[in-house]
Amino acid sequence: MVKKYAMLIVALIVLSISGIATAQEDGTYRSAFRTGCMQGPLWTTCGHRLDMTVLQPLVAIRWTADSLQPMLAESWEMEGNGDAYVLSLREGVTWHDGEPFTADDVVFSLNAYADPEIASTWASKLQDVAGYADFQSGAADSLSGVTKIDNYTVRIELANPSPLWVDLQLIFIVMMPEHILGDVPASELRSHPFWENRVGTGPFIWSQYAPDQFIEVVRNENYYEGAPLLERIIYQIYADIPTILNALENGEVDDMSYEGGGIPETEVARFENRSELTVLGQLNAGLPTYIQWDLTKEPFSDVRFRQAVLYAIDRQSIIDTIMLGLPSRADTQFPQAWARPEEGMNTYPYAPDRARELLAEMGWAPNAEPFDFIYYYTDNVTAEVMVAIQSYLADVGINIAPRLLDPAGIQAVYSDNAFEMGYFANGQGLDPSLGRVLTTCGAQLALGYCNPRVDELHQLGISVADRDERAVYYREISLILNEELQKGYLWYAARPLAFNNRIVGLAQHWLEQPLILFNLPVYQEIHTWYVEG
Amino acid sequence: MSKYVLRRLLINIPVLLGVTLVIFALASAMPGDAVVAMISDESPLAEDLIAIRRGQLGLDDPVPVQYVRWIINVLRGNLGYSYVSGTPISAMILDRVPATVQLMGTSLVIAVILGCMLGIVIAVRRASWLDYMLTVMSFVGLSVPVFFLGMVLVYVFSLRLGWLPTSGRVTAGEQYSFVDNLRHLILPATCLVLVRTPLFMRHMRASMLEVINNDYTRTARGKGLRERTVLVRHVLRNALIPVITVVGVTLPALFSGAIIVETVFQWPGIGLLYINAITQRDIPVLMSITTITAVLVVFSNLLTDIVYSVVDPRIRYS
Repeated sequence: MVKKYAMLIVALIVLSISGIATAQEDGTYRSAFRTGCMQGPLWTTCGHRLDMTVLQPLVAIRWTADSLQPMLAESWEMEGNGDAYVLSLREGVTWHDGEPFTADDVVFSLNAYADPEIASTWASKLQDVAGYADFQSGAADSLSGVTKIDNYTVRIELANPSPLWVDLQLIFIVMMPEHILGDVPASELRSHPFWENRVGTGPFIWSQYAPDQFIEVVRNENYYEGAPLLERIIYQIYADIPTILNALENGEVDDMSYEGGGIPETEVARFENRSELTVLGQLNAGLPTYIQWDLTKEPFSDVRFRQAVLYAIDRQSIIDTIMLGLPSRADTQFPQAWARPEEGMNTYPYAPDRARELLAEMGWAPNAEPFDFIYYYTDNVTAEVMVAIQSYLADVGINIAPRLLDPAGIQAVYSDNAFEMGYFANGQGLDPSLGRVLTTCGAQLALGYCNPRVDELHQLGISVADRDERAVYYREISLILNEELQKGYLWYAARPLAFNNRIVGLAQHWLEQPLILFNLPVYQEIHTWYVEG
Repeated sequence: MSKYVLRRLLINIPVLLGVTLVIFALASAMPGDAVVAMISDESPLAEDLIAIRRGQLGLDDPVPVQYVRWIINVLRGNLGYSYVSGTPISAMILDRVPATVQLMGTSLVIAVILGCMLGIVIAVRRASWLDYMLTVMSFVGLSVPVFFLGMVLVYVFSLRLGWLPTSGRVTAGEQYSFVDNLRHLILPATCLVLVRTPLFMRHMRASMLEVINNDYTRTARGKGLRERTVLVRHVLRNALIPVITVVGVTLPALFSGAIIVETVFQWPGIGLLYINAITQRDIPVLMSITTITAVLVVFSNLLTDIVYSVVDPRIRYS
């Protein structure tokens, strides 16, 4: 009897081991997805891919990052210089449960984003809409600037007119079904079961969700751009980057997610050797990476100190050795080349003597108590960068103590006003106007920096739509920030990604995408992708 | 006996309350809270929105008030809702228990059986090459970090040999099949077996050696009993007591899971839920898991004591 069971167990093990390691079937695209990205478009800071395949925005940015794709809004007209927009919605679109998509859904969704009780992470994207301030303060119970003209027309009036409002703000806003969520009290919206069984308008229909495992979405045969060629997408959820890398190498997923860090620089070569993968080792993350300091505190308030820090660090050596040449050096904030002047910027070459001179000028004596130096990327490459920066700075008499903190910890340091210095980055690939968050007088991340001219230039930068005209303003900001170093700019990060070639369309679209567009749904024609063979 | 059990249970009530109090205080002392943990540097949230959200979750109350509210709910059998997703915590935990019980159950059963068997063998063949070899290997097993071991297993059996999947509990989105589930289980379970077997083996060996030289063992041999009978009836039974303690201490892990192995292998169990709750400062989730684990520790200790009396007739509770 015992022998019989033992044989059975052995047989099972043999059977299981001899199975094919990867079960790839036709029509399925398996995409890596990070843990903690399931809160839904109102709150998530990383689950935006679901807001293109299941839910959808009215208008989306195209993968080429230079134009817009009409989605649920077929077209829109601007009144004046962006005083108001009239959106014409696509007719005949239905939610996945068969209900028609109408202007009511648009009015509901815009109000949900701006509702202070819902506390959306993205509420500020609507701050230019008329009535936003009143809604936020409780003086009104909806956005007065949003009006339904008829079932398929919505007018949005702006309190702060901008010809770029659709291009830069509306593309963040995702539509939600009024017929399902309209009656849910604001305070209960977050815990509504809808988020684990979403009903959208997109090319794929939510099919199942297994916590910490996967989300499955299947082809929407009635999709308005035509039924997708892929049968389904399985978003496989991972907590840890090495686990994704293993799954990618073993063919269990078809891509490396861009959220929360890509392939570590030191591992890129390993993946480049694999013929089934297309590896984008130098993909621009649109992510200026910098040393951040609190400008209200000594000695960071002294521009000579900030300049000395940059002269003291051999940025090019760090890029070439630790980061294997993948990022590109930064001398100012904007990752967009068109927003930077071609000449006139100080490149802060490695010059420790110049750093010592500047420090001597300000009477600097090496600090016995090292500065608390915060960073949050957990990978080894970052740890090595921290060691390099620490030793370069020690060489000129500036002592720092790097400390790894998670986002909640960093926010606590900010609110305790205990922040001194740190190694940070900020996703700004979409447009230089996003840079306002780091410079506007009084903004949290400006950390005491205030230059009214920069604020004025930023306002001018969104007052015109023409890129050549805008460039003038942003180039002036570039020069000012290069001189004043409100942050100590280090480099524009690369976020290496890899894609399995068996999904036709995946790598092709990413090859045409100039940089990563964080925190918003990006149109990549996913309904045209298919599985090779 | 039942009086003893009842007394033990009553004594443990203040212990459990104390545990929840300490953990709640520690968790609340972590920098940041569930609201700011949702903010990334790339998407800062306005101060007024943070205040509203904190108010909704009751995070603006003093910590003692939050604790009392929490403990009252728990005593009413309501574990509450996740700060992050708003889902009922009981559902979140029930979702993950099967995965953790499967992983921990499999690995513990194998580790206990294998560890005890090897411990007996090397105690009987003390100072043989097998003893030396297994002792050295057990040191390796005890000292190699489990995440590293996991990576090595994945590298060899998934990436190089291509025999087994790298992570997950089943192939995502496929119809459940036992074989598929088993293939996913092998690597994480092996990883845990490799680190836990040496523990049981070393305890078994030490405990056997202590008993094997006792007078009554010699007497048993002297009256001409077969070696097998001596070992099983006289040595093993007496040597089991310390081992039962070790097994008992390990039992709550059946629920609490293994954070590192579950993370490395993306095994969707309690350990993974727990580590995510920590980074997201999801205190109700964290507290629920810790409290249930504490209750299980109390019960498994009690269970261990009861098993003592079964194994060793000298131990009687009254």
